[in-house]
Amino acid sequence: MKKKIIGVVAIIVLLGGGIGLYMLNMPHRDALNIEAEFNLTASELANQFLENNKLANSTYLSEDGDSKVGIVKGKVIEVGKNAKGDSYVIIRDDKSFVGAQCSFQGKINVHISDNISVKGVIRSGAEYDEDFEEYIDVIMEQCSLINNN
Amino acid sequence: MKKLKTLSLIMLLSMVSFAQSHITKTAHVNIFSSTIAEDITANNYTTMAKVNTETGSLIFSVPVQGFEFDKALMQKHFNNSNFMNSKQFPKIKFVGNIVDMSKIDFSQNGSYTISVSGELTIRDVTKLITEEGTITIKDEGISTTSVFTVKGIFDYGVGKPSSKRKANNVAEDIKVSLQADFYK
Repeated sequence: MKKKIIGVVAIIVLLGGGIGLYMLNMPHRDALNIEAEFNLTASELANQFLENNKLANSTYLSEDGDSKVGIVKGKVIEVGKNAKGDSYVIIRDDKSFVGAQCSFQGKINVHISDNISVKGVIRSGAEYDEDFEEYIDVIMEQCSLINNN
Repeated sequence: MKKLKTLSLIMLLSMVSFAQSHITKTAHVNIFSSTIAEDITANNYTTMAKVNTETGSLIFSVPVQGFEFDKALMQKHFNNSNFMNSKQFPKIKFVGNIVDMSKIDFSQNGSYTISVSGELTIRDVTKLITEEGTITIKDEGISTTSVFTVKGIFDYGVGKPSSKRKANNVAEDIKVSLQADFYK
């Protein structure tokens, strides 16, 4: 009987410790391995934030920071690299002032005016910022190129 | 003819004012907090910044969910409603001015220690801060860097109320290092 109790306690401790260790060292979510939950043009997505910021924030942002993963498409209007050396692009609909800024994991080969589709995770929505006097695009990271027409 | 002159003058002026504003969408922000328990650090590579070399205005917009931590669990806690509440307040913002603009000569290469003063908004709470930084004018463009401490982050509503907070779990002061390159 005593042995049984010790056994059960040992299993609980091991299980608890294991779960604790897993939680502490839980891997980061990678947008690449997650199914896309939306498929829009970059400017359509941005406009949802401009039209109703509260609704769009609650639709696309998650409380724990693992916000929605989805696909956006548009015309490349800016290409560059960030401080890490990773590529980023800004894509928008033709004639639109606002779209999505997508940071990739590594370098990609796209050019201004290319029409591309990109999958990634949303970090923040679009807005018109009165201090910048500019539209700020939807920020997406962990991006990958779906196609390059 | 006069109209044409006025028009071209307006166009010229607008071009000049355009040239005085510089924007980057990939400024780098690092935050660092040291406690007895552990050191915590995170990086953000998607910060938008704008400097105006005529007025000295300096603006930063930082997407909170863009901070990458080593540990996923730490990142979740950081974004949580008890802490940064990034779902409701997705951006940290700074709107300020370079205090001592007159000493900067933007027409030639050089480096200056500057003082920047303005409003820092975290979780909809705005406080006036004044920090030191460096501005460098070089061939590629303008580069700004700063290392400073945001003091008393709990005063911005970050974290649990003091009665419920575990001591030493999160430092009250957060060290911030930022670099914004406004290259052509």
